[in-house]
Amino acid sequence: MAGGVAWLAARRLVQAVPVLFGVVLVNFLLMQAAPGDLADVLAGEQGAATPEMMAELRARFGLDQPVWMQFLHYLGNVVTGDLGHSHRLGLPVLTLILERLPATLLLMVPAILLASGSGMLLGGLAARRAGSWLDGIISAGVLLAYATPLFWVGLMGIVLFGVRLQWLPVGGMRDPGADLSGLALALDTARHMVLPVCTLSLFYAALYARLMRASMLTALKQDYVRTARAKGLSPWQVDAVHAGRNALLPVLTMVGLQAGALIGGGVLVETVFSWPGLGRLAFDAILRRDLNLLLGIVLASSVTVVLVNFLVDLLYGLADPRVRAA
Amino acid sequence: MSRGWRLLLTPRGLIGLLLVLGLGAMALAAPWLYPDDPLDMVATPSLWPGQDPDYWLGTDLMGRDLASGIFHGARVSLLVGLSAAAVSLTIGTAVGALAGFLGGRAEMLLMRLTEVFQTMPPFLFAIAVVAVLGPSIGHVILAIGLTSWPGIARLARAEVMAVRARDFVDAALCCGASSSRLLLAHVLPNALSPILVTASVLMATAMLTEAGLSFLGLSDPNLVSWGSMIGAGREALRTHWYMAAVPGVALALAVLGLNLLGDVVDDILDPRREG
Repeated sequence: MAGGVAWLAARRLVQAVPVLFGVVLVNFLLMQAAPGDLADVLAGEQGAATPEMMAELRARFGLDQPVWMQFLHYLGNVVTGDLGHSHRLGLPVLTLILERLPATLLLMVPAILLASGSGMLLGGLAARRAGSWLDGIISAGVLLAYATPLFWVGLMGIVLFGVRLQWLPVGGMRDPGADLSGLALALDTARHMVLPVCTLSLFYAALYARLMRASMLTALKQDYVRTARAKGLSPWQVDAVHAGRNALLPVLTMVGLQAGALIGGGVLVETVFSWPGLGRLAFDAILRRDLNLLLGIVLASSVTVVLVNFLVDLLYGLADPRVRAA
Repeated sequence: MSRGWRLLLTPRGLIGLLLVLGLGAMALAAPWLYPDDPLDMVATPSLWPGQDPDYWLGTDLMGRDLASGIFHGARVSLLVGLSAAAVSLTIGTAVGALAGFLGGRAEMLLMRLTEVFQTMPPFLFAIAVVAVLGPSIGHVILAIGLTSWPGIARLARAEVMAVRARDFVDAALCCGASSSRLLLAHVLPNALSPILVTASVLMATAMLTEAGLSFLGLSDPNLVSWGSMIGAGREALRTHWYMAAVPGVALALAVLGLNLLGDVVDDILDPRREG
């Protein structure tokens, strides 16, 4: 069986290659669509440039070559891990991204876990008591969370919990004044995480709850669930183990499909909470018109999406033996 | 009374319909109720809602009338929502229908293209498009349309493949219909309704994306939008939270209305749901 999963993994990786090639191509075309090239940017920063200097700059960066040569050059760079240089910050784009990645992961991973956990729980509960007042409340909450813009929820959270009640810090990742270490630092960071993580997971929790409710309703009608009930298993065991495990699969697929959207939502949430992650870096890149950095982040995020989907596929194989056989 | 009307006249359908009609009415009435530029300073800054009956939703830090901003913002939201949904439906249907109809190599190529656009995080991609091309309302519409079509393409492909397999299509083929006529006159019209149903949810998502972009400052600086109002209100969040709260409530109600209406239309077209 392990062989089946390994084979599946290898096939998925090979399938990802043309997609990543396409992402690099789209990124390159976007860069070409920007008004002015790198030489114009550098000349603009120095204040003045002679036509000879511009020609020399273009020759140095290969901008005088045909477009397809430039693309091959760019592709070669990307494959070797060189995402270009942020001319505003004077650092390689990859260095900047890797520096901010841990903060973003600290936000994303708990948000995914919280969203999928609470979403599946709420959706499952709503499906078990379909039509009851509990189902009504959960469904209404889902509709509201579905319609409310994430960043606005974050702002209102700051007003309520940060400014009025003063329970939680209003932004940042740690208390800038205090010099903390060890457990105190971890606790302080956790306090700073509460609002952004809850904000980010709210929409996705609603999404998963809705999906889990529908897929649980289908699963509960299946024959094997009736069989499990007939042989006298406890209602909890039937719902959670027999129906729940099968209802899980569509939700798992959705977690993979929504990985990209979650990263996008992260940009807004990190901006609202001044969280020093990739999203905040993207926002700063917009403000400084640092296109190299912005497109580097888009590329790195796309690779992340591919990786997340790869992981989801593997989990899928583990959760459902039929996938391994196919 | 037909089943469709019965479903529309449930509380869910009525609330959705009222909210969407309200949004449309606000957009239409804006130049008439608030003829002045919503970006002009008209009153004392930082008036709370209800403090001055002439400015019932209050004013912002620059003394701009929030009510006027909300009404004019409805126009921008609606315009972006409708146009971006149209762009997305056009691209998605074209790509998906061609893939499902042609099959083979062309299908593989088109679906790989779809996958590429599905892999790039939509909101980040939209940010990049607007940042590269410059912040104008046309570019915002293009960016949202360009990033939201992959789901439609998948749906359109599945629908076209299902219709393509039906007998009447083979009959048309036997009568000598050309490929383009087969697709445009026989297959597509029968595959279109499940695709069009997604329009209202697509609009809702486009409006949320537009708000996110303009919150980050990526919108036409000469137009007032709900997202840019929330962004401006953020600067006075500690003392005057209503400046960010009011446009957010307007946006949430509009999106809620579109989502509810989308659900109901979905139910109406699915004969298996009870009415």
